[in-house]
Amino acid sequence: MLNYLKTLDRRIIYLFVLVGVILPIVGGFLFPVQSSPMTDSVVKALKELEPGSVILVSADFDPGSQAELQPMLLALLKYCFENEINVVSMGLWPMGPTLIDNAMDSDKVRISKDRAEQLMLEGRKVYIIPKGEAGTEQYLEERDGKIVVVKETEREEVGDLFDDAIYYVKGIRSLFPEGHIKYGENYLAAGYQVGAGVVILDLVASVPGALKTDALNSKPVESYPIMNGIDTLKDIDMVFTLSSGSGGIKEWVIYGNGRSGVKVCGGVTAVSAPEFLPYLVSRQLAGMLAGLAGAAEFEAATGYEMGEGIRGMTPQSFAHIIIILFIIIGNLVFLVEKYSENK
Amino acid sequence: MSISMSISVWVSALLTLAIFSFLIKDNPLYKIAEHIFVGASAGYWFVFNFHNVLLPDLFKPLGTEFTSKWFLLIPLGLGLLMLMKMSRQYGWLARFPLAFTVGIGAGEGITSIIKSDIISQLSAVTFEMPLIMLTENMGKMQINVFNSFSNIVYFLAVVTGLLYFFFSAEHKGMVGKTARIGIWFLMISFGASFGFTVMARISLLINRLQFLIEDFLGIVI
Repeated sequence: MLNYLKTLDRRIIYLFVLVGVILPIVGGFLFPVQSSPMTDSVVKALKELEPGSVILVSADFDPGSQAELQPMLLALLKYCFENEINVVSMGLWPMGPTLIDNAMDSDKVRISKDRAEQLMLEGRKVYIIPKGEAGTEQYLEERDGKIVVVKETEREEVGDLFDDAIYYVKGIRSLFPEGHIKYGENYLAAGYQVGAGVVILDLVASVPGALKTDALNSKPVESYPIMNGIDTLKDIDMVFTLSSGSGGIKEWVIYGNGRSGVKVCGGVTAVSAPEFLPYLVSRQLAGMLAGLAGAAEFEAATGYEMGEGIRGMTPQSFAHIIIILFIIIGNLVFLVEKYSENK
Repeated sequence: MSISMSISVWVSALLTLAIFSFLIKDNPLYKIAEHIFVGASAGYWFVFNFHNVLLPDLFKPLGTEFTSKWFLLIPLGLGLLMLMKMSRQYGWLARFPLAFTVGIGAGEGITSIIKSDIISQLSAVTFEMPLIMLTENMGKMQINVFNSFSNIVYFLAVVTGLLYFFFSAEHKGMVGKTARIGIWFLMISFGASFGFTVMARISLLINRLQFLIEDFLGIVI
């Protein structure tokens, strides 16, 4: 037995982890999520922003990290637009702005049945995944007082909304009434900015000079009302970077906070989180979200219970328990072997 | 269960499974997926940078506003010199743009990094983390036990950790014992980093499995 455990095939461990992750996904279990002091500091910094404040959201990551950072981005944008905080978006990584566009307009944003009904009555397009029918896209429509599920070309009428279905809208923008997020007034996309640290130094000197034109209309950014009163980076109320490497949070702290004193918050991949913890202690970072756990805690703290972060935390916990068990078994085997050798 | 009919979902799912097959053992399916990923990434980055950086920031201004933007010939020249790296005979020319880049990076970075990574950190440990923290409770000052303990641990970790990397004195006696405590703190920080790494990797696995189960297989929970 001891020998078997000592030479245990790594694929058996993979299998256990795989089953440990699949079970809670299929079972739909949800563990409660509680906020940590690290996440609380982000929420506190955001709550200090008054309506009409401007936050610069920099997507400094690519699709390889979106499993951890995209849920943060969705929850952050939702929080900002709910609290009338204006958002200027940009990216130090080429794919970053595309991921912000996805978050605004095409990512699945899960909502409750009640919210689905409310949004549908407000004229928003609400999608539905009835149990066992996830493969095809279906959405809801109200026709003659009845709710109709539209499935590609055929129209299938149902009496009421399903309780056990999943409801979602595409993009954060769809959560709000038409005109709530006015381009140029509440939201501005500045697109990809090449140069990492150099761009941040340019922003410190002049925000319109660094960003030049917006990504949608190629018009000078200073021609939009959202930029009124914004000259240097100091005039921005907060920089929020979603970062998975260089350039990212480190550059924002060193050049952004270091040179202009702008408040910097960040969401980072779990792998890189320990490197930036000292910046929290020295308050160079006003707050930080670390990995999927950070995303889940932020969702819970801002009241977004249907977020992807929270859904991911139960399989995460299962996998961690399995890994901890294997570490304990490995150590026990080592100790028993050492004990028998000494005997 | 209703398997997706979308071609893009099928391609994503098959490539995901091909990459996962490496967990069993190295195989041609994994190699194919790996090569597709590398090739598609390189192609995408080239096209993206050409259309979003080189064209609008270099070629277009040089073509349309040459009289006012002639100085862009300098980065163009430096960029072309960088390509000389591919030639054995003229490879040395690539040293000029490299020297320029390294010089700019060092000049910009040194003062900022000293300020943010050394002075601010030292200032935080020295002035902003009192070993005994007091808090006011109903008009009376009380010791905040948790924060005081945490500040003391932080202080000890910094001092002993720094001493471990102090090589001007032999690590014997008191110095050796203190440095040994530093090693323990370092080990604990490596453990925390490992924990964070495991969490990150499992998060990626969860995301892919959610995609396979929900979007590809159409199993709704």
